[in-house]
Amino acid sequence: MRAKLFFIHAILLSLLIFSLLPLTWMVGVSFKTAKEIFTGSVNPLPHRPTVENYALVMERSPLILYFLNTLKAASLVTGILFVVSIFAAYGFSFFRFMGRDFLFYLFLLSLFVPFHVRMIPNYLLVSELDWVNTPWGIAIPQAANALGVFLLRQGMKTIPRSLVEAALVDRAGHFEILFRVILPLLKPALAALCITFFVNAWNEYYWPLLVVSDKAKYTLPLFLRMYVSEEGGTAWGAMMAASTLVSLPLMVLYLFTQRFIIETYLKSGIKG
Amino acid sequence: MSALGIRFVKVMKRYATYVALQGLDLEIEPGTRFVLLGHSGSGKTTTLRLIAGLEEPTSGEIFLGEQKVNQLPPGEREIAMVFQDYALYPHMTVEENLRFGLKRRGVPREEAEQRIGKVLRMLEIEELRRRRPRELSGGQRQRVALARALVKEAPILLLDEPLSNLDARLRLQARRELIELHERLGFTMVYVTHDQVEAMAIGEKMAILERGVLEQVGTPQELYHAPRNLTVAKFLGSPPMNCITVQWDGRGNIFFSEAQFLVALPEDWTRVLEHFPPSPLILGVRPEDCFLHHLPREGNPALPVRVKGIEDLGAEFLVHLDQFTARVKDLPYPFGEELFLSFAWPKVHFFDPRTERTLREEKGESSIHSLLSQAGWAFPLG
Repeated sequence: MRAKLFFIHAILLSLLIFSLLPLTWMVGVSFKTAKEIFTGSVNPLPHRPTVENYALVMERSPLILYFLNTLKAASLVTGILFVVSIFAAYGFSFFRFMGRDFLFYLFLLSLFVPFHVRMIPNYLLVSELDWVNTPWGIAIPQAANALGVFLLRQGMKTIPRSLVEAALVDRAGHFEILFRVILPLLKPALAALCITFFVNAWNEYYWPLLVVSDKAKYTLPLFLRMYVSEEGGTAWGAMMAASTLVSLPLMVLYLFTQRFIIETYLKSGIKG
Repeated sequence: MSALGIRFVKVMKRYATYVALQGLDLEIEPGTRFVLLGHSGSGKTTTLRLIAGLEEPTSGEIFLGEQKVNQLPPGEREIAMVFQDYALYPHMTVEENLRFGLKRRGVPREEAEQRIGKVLRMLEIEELRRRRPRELSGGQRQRVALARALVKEAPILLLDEPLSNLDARLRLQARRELIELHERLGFTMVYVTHDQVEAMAIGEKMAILERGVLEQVGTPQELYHAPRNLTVAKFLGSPPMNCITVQWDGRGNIFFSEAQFLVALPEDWTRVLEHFPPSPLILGVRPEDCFLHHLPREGNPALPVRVKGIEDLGAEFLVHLDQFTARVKDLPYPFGEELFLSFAWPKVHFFDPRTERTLREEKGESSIHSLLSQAGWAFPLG
């Protein structure tokens, strides 16, 4: 038993190192001078820490603006997905109607349509609506996502039907059943869902790249790309400092909510 | 709360692939303890859910009191319900569970608090007020579920196998309490169970359902002593009624083919069966209506049998014979002993093997009454 535990811990520890290494590298390099970055030392920790990279980033770019742009788009995506997923999942779980399961699986199938297939039609639509360079243009196409409905329906299916029936006998309407009985029982799943949507939207790179051309409307991932120079001479120190700043809010958010996220994915029976 | 009656008129319930209820006609009088008894899939729970409004009938009419309720949603009906799994809201405390329905029904806050206090005191669970369902034992949950239903003071209380999740000792206690509560409050109670002992203990009236068909309605005594068909006869009683195929010769004798023995029927039975042509019949006799003797007795036709096994139940014994089980009070007979079996003939039943219906009805209920009273057996027949 003890040997088995040791073995498991050894595996977990090595996985931890693998996943922490790039993160440590990022943070480490952000505090190094340009000279130290290229001296070939593999020590991730800076010899003599400097904040000049951060100073450079803060000074040169409207970081707050990009942060707000991203926040706007990510909140919009999260908000829409959250509301739609809750209502759709409730319908798919507790209403009986013809073709319900067929519709649900059809809906799920949309998860299997790759982004690259949707990219052009979505772009045409957004440009037709005059949403290019707006938060709506960034958010609406991302909000068409069946994952939330799937996860919440899984959660609702674990709630005994009799609970809903008891509420019906208690003269509760569907809104009361949803908000007073169902959702309080799904708090962890709802929290996890919010975080997942938010992080995905926050990190989304490709779609904003297509619909945002105005630099003032850039989101953080687009901003990061500005540090990559195709002709070489990428400012690695500054780029890592920017990356650290961009991922900081998410890491803090995740720290507080990881319990919910892990629980939800364990219960849904799929891997995140 | 004043009780309301319930009436089903030709109610049919069909799901996509099967018929759960076939043309049910049923009347439940106001204030009765009414038990719906049946195996799983018999339609008993469907019937209850139709009363609650959790299902809509495919055809037919359902009345609560004078009101036709076919389309009425559950919340608008004058019912309260106890679910099999209790269905307590897990995130609410006991008192919040009770308050939820009252609030939705627009009961003023002060009155609601008063009623909650009263019900919790009545069921002696005041100290559980602020606990959540997961902090309660099975018996406590059952009480809270009952409290949540009673606090609504609805004229009709529906219970779906409410005791099936309790252990045997608690079940007996809860059963008694339920009867007491009903006697005190006088609502109409509809109780679904598959347990025939529970059904007989609780029901003032009961209905037996089988495969969506109502087999018989009556008092427990009527159903036990005058089953209309083989299904009802076999359902009630533990151990169940002995049912043996015999050959009727049309002249007053029945032949037990297994025992290769001819028994002359008492005259009363001969008169009931005489218009019936010679054919196989099913003889039904309850274990307690079987008597064992060491020697055949004058005037009481008896069948030679052999003891196959004995179960000691403490107050009495079950003696297993070749085809019969007898329930006797006196000392057991040794294994392998050859004995004579006789029946309390007025309590014997004959069923037509094709229709499975009792043959007593063929001559009308009145003749049965006289038959029974002649023999000195008095019990009510509907």
